Amino acid sequence: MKVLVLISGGIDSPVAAYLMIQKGFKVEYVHFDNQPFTDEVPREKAIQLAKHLKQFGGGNTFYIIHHGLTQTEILKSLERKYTCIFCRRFMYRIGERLAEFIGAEALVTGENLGQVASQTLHNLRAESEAIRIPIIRPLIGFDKQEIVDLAKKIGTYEISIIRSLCCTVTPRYPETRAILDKIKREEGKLEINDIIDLRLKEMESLDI
Amino acid sequence: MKFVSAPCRTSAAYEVKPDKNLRLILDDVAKKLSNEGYIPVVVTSHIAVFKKEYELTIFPSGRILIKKIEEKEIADRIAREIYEVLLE
Repeated sequence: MKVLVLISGGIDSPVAAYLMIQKGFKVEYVHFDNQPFTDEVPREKAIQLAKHLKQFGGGNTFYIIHHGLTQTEILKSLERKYTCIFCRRFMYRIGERLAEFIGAEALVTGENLGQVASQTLHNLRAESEAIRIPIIRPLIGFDKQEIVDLAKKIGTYEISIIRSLCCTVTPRYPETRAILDKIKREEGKLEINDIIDLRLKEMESLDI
Repeated sequence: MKFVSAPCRTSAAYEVKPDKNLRLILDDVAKKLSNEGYIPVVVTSHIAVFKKEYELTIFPSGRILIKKIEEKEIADRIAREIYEVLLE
């Protein structure tokens, strides 16, 4: 069975991918490139990580979505404190459409409860509601040290910690208890399907 | 204009913070910096990104991230120039 891994270039998502590979899933990768709100390094790291994971049996194709353009739409039109939630809802929606296209049954993320301010149970619920296919979060109950130890064991840690700019879009005070009705009302200001279509049209795919 | 500068959390850029909130209107910032040869990449009311030989991310508070430079002295010089232009 195939799954689509949302791979960021950080420590967590490659570990999540590894755990899925170990369970016997076939994985493909999608990276959401956040330039110009970060630098080019996360994209390069994500590609390197996907290549590294091939030794365990991981995927042949690497998809890149130009997410910075979506972030610009979000920043221009929607309430600031929900930026991270809108960002993830768009990533999930685009991921879902891509998963359908490539025949993947679920999305996989490296999300982990409480690791950053926006990763609360309230927010995960509000984010997950954007799509219908399952989101598998293999690391949800792990603590950071467990993830780091596993990343070191599988050799992804050294790639993940290469210096890169963190996301500059994150608001100073992100919402931690998202209210779904409010999120949906705000999102109504955007042409969601048009944005998704455009991002998929511009998508890059690489053989790894 | 007083400010502090240091590598950002991941050390991938220099972060410059003024000693007070400048409450910048980023559309105005874009006009002023365009006159100084900066190319606006993205301008929203929350974040603006500009390119020259280096890259600037500017926030309404006056906080600036400067990418693609290696030395603090250069970050400080750029920040001084930017604040001069913005506050003139």
